[in-house]
Amino acid sequence: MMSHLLRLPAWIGLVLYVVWEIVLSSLRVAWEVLTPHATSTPGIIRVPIDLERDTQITLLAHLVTLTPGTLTLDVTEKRDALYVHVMFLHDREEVIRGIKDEMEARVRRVLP
Amino acid sequence: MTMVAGVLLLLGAAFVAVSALGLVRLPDVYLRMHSVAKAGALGCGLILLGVVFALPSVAVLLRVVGAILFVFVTTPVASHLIGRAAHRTKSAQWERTIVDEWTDEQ
Repeated sequence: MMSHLLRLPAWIGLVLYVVWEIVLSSLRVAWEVLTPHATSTPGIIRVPIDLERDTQITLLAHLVTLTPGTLTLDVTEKRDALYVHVMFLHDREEVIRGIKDEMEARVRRVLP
Repeated sequence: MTMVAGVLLLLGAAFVAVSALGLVRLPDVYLRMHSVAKAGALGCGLILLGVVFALPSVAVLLRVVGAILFVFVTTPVASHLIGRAAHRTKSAQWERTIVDEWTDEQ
């Protein structure tokens, strides 16, 4: 119980982060829908992950879907990577870094 | 209060409208899922928040918090399953899709 309470600030931080990212991503998608010229350069990439438990992977997959321009399509059988559809794919490594460094770290903080 | 409620309800409705428009306008299943999963969830959230300001009470607030959490937890699950089903059935991708590492691997 105590350990859950100690992680409360991390959860609150995560919720605020997700809300902010959802606002950004909605505006970006809305812009793409409303402007006449399609500017998206979509692609499906494989994002390696280093999480052990299913709950952690589920949370990460949710975060990826709710953040700008990325959508989780599937998890590999071995649970070592996510297949992610990216709406504006310019730099593959940058997308992977964003998911691994930012989101995976946040998942670890709330679900160690 | 009524003003805030009105603004939130209209904003939410606008996002839902845009996400519905995106469903028609965007070129393939995957891009359409982007539109529904994000703008749709945000639109729902804003409308529910507007309800709190229109009918301010603790009972409404608690229900709205529950409803928003539920929408945000279930929407990505639905979009994940639809996207996965689309890929497994080899649903057509937009011709400007630059890479598909999932198909390349198989």
